[in-house]
Amino acid sequence: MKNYRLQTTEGVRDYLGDEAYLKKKIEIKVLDFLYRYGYEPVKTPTFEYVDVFATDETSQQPDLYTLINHQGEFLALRNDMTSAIARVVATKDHTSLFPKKYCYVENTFRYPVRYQGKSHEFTQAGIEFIGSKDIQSDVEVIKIAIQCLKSFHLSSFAVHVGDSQFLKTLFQDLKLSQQEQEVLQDYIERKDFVSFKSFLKKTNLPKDLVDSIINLMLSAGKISYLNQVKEQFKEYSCSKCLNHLFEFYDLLKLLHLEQYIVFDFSINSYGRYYTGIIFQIFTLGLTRPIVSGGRYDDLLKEFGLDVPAIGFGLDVDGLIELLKTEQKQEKRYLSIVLDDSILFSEEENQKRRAHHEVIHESIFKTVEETIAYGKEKKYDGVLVYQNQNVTLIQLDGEDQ
Amino acid sequence: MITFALSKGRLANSILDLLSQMDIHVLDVHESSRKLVFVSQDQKYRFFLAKPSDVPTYVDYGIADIGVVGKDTILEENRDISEVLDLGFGKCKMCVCGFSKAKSVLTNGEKIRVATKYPNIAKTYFELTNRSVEIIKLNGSVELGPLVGLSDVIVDIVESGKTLRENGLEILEEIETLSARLIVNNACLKIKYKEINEIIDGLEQLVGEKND
Repeated sequence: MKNYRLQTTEGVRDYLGDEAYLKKKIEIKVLDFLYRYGYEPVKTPTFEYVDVFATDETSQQPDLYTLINHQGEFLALRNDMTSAIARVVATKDHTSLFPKKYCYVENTFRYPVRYQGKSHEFTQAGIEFIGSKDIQSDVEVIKIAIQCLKSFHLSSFAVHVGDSQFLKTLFQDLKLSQQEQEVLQDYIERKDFVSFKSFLKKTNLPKDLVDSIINLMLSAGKISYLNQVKEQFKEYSCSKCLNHLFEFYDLLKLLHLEQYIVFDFSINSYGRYYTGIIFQIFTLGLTRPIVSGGRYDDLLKEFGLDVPAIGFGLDVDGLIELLKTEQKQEKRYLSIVLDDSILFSEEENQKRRAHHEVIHESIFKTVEETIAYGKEKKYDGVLVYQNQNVTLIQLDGEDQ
Repeated sequence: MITFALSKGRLANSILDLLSQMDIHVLDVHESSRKLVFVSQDQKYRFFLAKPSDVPTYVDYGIADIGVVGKDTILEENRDISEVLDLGFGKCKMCVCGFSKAKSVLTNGEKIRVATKYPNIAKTYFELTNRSVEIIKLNGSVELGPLVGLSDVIVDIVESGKTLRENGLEILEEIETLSARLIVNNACLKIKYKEINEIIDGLEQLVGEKND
C-alpha cells in the first residue's frame, strides 16, 4: 500500500541545507535589488477566485490548480503574479497617481504536461511598471532585468528582443484571413516551424516573401539584422513596429547595454497576451529562458482599468541552478566549551557570526565526539574553549 | 560542441548519410551496433542513439541540442521543443484503420473503442473531431485489436499498408502525414543559433529539392 505520509506529490520538492539557504538568500537579494529601483513589494494571497487567473473565455482551465471553497465558489492557486497585481491595481490602488511600480518574489503553481519531470511549483521574481506607454519604461524594465542578472555575476547571457505586433501586423498587411492568422499563431506558439513553413508555402504569397517570413522564425541578430529585416519588409506597415526597436536600441546604447541585445522575431509565444515589445533572456547552462517579459497594455482592461503596463518575470529556480555550483561556502564551525569559559565563548562566537561565519554549538561532552560529528557533517573546524581561551582544530580533511 | 540525439535504427542511418554529404563524418557508427555515443571526425559534433520516444525528452532537457525523430513521436510525446525541418525521409501516415464495417461506428455517435500505441495522438484527434472514444493502450501488434474484438478501430502508422491488407483491415480516416523531423532545444536555438543554423541550412539544401 502506498504510504502517503512518506511521499511528496508530483512536481514539488524539498530544499534542504545549503540549497534552502541559497534560495532564501537569492529571493531576498532579488527583492532588495528591485526595491532599490523604486518598485514597491507586493504580496498577494496564494489562492484567489479562479476568474483572476482565468482570462480566457472558457471556464475549463487545465493548467490551473483549482479548488472549491465551502460556499461552492471556484478558487485557484496563483499561476502568475501579473494577474494578481492587475487585480490589486484595479481594486485598491487606482485612485493615486500613476505610474505605479511593483516588485515581487512569490511561488506560483501550474499543471504542466504529466510525467515530464516538470515542476508544478515555481518561485518567480519580477516587476510590473504600470501606467506608462513611454519608451523610457521599456528601456527601464529591460535595463533592470540585465542589471539584476549582472548583480549575480552572470555575464554570458543574451536578451532576445522582438515586437509582438510585428508578425500580427504583417499578416494583416498580407490580407490573411482571421482563421489563417490563428493557425499560424498556433504553429508559432507550438514552435512547429515545419507546419508554419508548409502552411505559408500553400498560400499564394510570392515565394521570396514567404522565404523572408520563414527566415524570421529561425534567425536572430544584432542591429545589422534589424536593418536587414526593415529592408525586407519596408513596403508593409509592420515595418513601423521596427522604428520603436531602433529607438529602444539607441537608448540602451547610451547605457552601454546594447551588447546584450539580440533582435529576434520568433519569440512570440504568449503572443496573444503581449501588445508591444517582448523579450526573453537566455544564458548558457539553462535550457529555458531565465527572464521573460514584455508590454501588455490590454490586460488591465479585463479588470476594468484602461492603463498600459510592462513587466518581466525572473525564474528564481533557474537562477539557483546557475549559482549553485559557483556559490562560495561560508566557514562553518562547531564550538565546544570544556570549563567555565562559557561567557567568553558566547562573546567570541557572536563576533565570528557577525563576520559571516556559522557557529554551531556542540551538545557533545568531549572534543572527540564533536570532531567525529563535524567530519560527518562537513564542518570546517571545531572551536575548543578552555581557560578563557580558544583553540581551532581544522577539519578540512588535509590533517588526518 | 553540438550534441545530437538520434532515433535508433533507420532514421539514424539516414541522417548520418545526409550529414556525411555535409562533410560531417562519424567513424564506425554503421558497423558497431552496441556503441551508443559517437563523435565526429572533427570533434565538433557528438551523437548518441536513443529509443525514438525518448529523443524529444533528451532535447527538451537540453541533454541533446538537436534531435532526429519521427513526427509521430513529436506529437505523442508533446514536449516543449522547436520543430525546425522536415527531413523528408521516413514518410508514412497516421491513420484510423479497421474493418470496413467499422465505418459506421465512426459516424453514428456511439462511443468508439480505439486500440493504439499512440494514446495522445488518438485522444487529440477524436477530441478535435468531437467524437467520444475509449482509448486502449497497446504496446505492439495493434492490428490485433479489431481482429480479436478488443477494439472497433486502431490508430496507427501506415507505411505500405501490407499488414493491414493481409489482415483484411483498411484505412478509414487519415489523421496526418508523418516524416522524420529535426528538432532543437528551444534555448539552444537561441544560445547556439549560429552553429545550429549552419546545420539546418546545410540539411535544408540537401533535402529541400525533394520536399518542394
